[in-house]
Amino acid sequence: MSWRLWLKSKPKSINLGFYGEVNAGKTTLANKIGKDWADQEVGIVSEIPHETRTIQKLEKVNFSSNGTKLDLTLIDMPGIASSVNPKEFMKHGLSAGEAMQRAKEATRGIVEAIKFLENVDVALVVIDATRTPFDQVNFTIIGNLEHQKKPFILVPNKIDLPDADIRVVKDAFQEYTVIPVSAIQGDGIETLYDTIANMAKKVR
Amino acid sequence: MRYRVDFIPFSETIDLSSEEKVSYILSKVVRNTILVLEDGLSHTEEMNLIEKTMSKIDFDKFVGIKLFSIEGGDDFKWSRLFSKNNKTKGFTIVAPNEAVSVIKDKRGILSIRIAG
Repeated sequence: MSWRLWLKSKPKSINLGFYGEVNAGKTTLANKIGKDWADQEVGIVSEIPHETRTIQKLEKVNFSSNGTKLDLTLIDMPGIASSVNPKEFMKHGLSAGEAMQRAKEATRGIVEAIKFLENVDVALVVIDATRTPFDQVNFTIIGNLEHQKKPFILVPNKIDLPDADIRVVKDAFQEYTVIPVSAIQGDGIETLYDTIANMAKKVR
Repeated sequence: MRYRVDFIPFSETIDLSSEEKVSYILSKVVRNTILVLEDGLSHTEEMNLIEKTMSKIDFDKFVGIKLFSIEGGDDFKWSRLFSKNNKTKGFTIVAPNEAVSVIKDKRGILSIRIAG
């Protein structure tokens, strides 16, 4: 096989970044993709906000959908927020010291996630479908991805829950690619995989 | 806690660079001022503001901000109240996190509840 043919048959390497608000289900979705394609999880899931406080990576994920093969690096980002209040963590049972430590790490994680945006090839913007999607953070993330010309998919998550309202999310983001999923149940995940494969084609 | 609301006209920030604008906003917000900026922030400036806010948080008196931008051409036309010729890209509200609850509901109504 010539080196040109070899290069053509080689799966494209894609940095797939998971962005979104705190507790939108980014890590749950990253774990679902990691388990499906590499039999590994990316990070720990918790109901306490800011569980992911440093960037978590899972490399060499051999992904294939609709004939498109990709060498994915899953990059689970700390949730983006414009405030971090230790008192919120104490409501979840953390001690004052633990809450303060978590808060300090969370502020550093937010900065880390923002700075890493330029290294992402395709982004999944994960939105909690049970909450109003109008938090400015969602628009800020999308606006910055557009500014940097990064392909992205909006992923309303938790659609298995009774409070989920996909219509509101679709109405709010009509001009974008919106793929609703339940990362826990797997609903919508095949459609998401097809869309990731299509988006990856836009990456040079 | 008492908060002050400042309506910042276009002329106050138009000559500032993005970095200067973010610094200007933070310097006021950490002193318990809610800002309504006629010259709204771009999404890049918003992200820069979030990043810079993280370095200002002291977990005691200041735990961050709330921000909300109304984009020109959005279903909101309130920007016309601030700019007769509607040349601005919309306006932005920035407040100390504890000062306000900002909710935009399904009908497009923007509600701001001020703590006090």
